[in-house]
Amino acid sequence: MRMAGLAAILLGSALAWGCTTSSVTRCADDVAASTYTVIEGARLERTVGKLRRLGVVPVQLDVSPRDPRWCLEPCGWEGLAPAIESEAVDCLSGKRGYEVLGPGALGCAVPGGFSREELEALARLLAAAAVEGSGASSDEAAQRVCDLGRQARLDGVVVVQGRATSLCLVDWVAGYASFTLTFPISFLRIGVSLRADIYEAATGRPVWTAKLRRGWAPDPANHYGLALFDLIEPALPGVFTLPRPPGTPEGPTGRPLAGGTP
Amino acid sequence: MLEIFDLPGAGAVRLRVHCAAAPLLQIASYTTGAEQMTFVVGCLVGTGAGLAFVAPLATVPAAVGPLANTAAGAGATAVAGGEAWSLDTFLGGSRARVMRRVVASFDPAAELRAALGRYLGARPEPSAGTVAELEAAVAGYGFQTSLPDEACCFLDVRTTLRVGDGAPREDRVLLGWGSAGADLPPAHCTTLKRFLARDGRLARQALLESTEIAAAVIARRLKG
Repeated sequence: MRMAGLAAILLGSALAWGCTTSSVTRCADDVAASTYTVIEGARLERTVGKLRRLGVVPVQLDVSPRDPRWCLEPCGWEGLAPAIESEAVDCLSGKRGYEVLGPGALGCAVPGGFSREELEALARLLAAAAVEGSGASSDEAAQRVCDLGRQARLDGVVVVQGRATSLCLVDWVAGYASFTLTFPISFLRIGVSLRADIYEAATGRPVWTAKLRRGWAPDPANHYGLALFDLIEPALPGVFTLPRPPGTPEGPTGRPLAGGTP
Repeated sequence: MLEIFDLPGAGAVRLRVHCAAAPLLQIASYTTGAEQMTFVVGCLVGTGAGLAFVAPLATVPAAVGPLANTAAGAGATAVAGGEAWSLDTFLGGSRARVMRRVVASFDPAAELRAALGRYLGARPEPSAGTVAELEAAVAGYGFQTSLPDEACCFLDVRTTLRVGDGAPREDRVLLGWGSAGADLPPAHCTTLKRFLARDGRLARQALLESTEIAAAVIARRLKG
C-alpha cells in the first residue's frame, strides 16, 4: 500500500514536471486594425487576427540562476531569448500569416530609427504595464504603442516576457542534505513560464494575452515561442483587405473609422 | 436554376461548382507519444508490475536523472511502439470519430458555391444564355499531418474558365501545408488537440474558412 502511494506520488510529480500548460487568458472582441480596410462580403470572424501588421519588441526574459556558473548543467541563457524571439516571428508570419516586423526590422521602420536599447526600454515598459499590479503606467505604455504604431504603420505590438529557471547547485546540495526529499520541489520549480501580450496600435490597450508553462530544464530546442504563439488565431488573409492610406481620419473614439471592419 | 456573374472581357459567365473528391484524413496518429507512454507506465504501475521499474527513480540524483528518465522513456516507448497501432486505435478512437464526423458533415461544393457567388456577385438566372462558364472543382479537402503532433487543414480547388471557342484558362488554389504564396495565406495548422476541442469546432471552422479564402482568391484572380 505504501509502495503504491509512493509510486502514485512519483508518477504525479513526473507528469507535473514534464507537462506543458498553455492558454489564452485575454482576447478582446472589439479589435480594430489601423492599416487596412476589409473588402465587401468578407465573412471571416477575427478578433486579434484583425491586427495583421505586428511589431515584435525584444523578449524580456528573467533567468534563475543569473550567474551561469551556478547552473548544475550548462544553462545556455544567451541563446534562449533570441530563440523565443525568432520562433515568435516565424510562427506569427510563417504559420499564422501576420506581417511581422521583428526587433531589427521594427527599429528601421520608424523614421529616424530605433536603437536596440530604445526597443529594449520600450519592451520593459510594455512588459511591466501588461502585468496588472506592477505599478507601471498603462497610460504611458498606451501612448508609446500608439506612437510606434503610427510611425511604423502597425496594427499591433507584441511583447513577450517570462522566466526561465534551471537546476542550480543549491538544489543539488539540498537534495543530498535531505536524502533526495527536496528533489520533487526542485523539479517542479524548474522550467520556463512565458507570457505574450498584444497591444492594439489604434488605442494602445492590450487586447490579447497568452501564457505558457513548460517543465523540464530550459532548452531552446523545446520551441517555447512556437508553442506560445500556436494559440493565436490566423491573421485575416491579405486577400480580404485593402490598404488604408496613411493619415486616414480616425473615429470619435480615437479609433480608425470602422469602415469594413468585420 | 443556374447562377451567372458578369466578368469584364467575357460577359455573362455561368458558374458551376462541384466536388470531385472524397474527404481525406491523413492523420499519422491521433495520440501523442507522451500519451502512449503515460498510458503504458500507468498500466504498469496500476497493475503493480511496474513498481520495480518506477520506484528506483525516486532515489536517482539529479545529475543522472535525465539518463534514467531517458532509459525509462526508451523502455516505455519500446513497449508502446510495438503496440503503436492498437494503442492509437484504442486511445484515439473517439478523436478519429470526431474528425470523421467533421469532414463528413462538410459540404465543400455548397460552401464554395455560396462564397463564390458572394465574391463574384452571382445571380440566379432561369435560362442559360451564356457562352462562358467557370467550373470550380474541389479536388481534395480534409486534414493531414504536417509535423509530429500537428495537423493542417487543406483544400484544393481547380478552376477552368471557358469563354466561347477559346482555349480554357485553368488555375489552381491550394491551401495546405507549405503552399502559402503571394495571395494565399498559410494553411491552418495546429495541434490535433486544438482542432478536436469542443467537438471539432476549430476543425469545422478551418474547413469553412478555407472555402471562404479560396473563393476570395479565385474572385480576385478572375477580376484582376
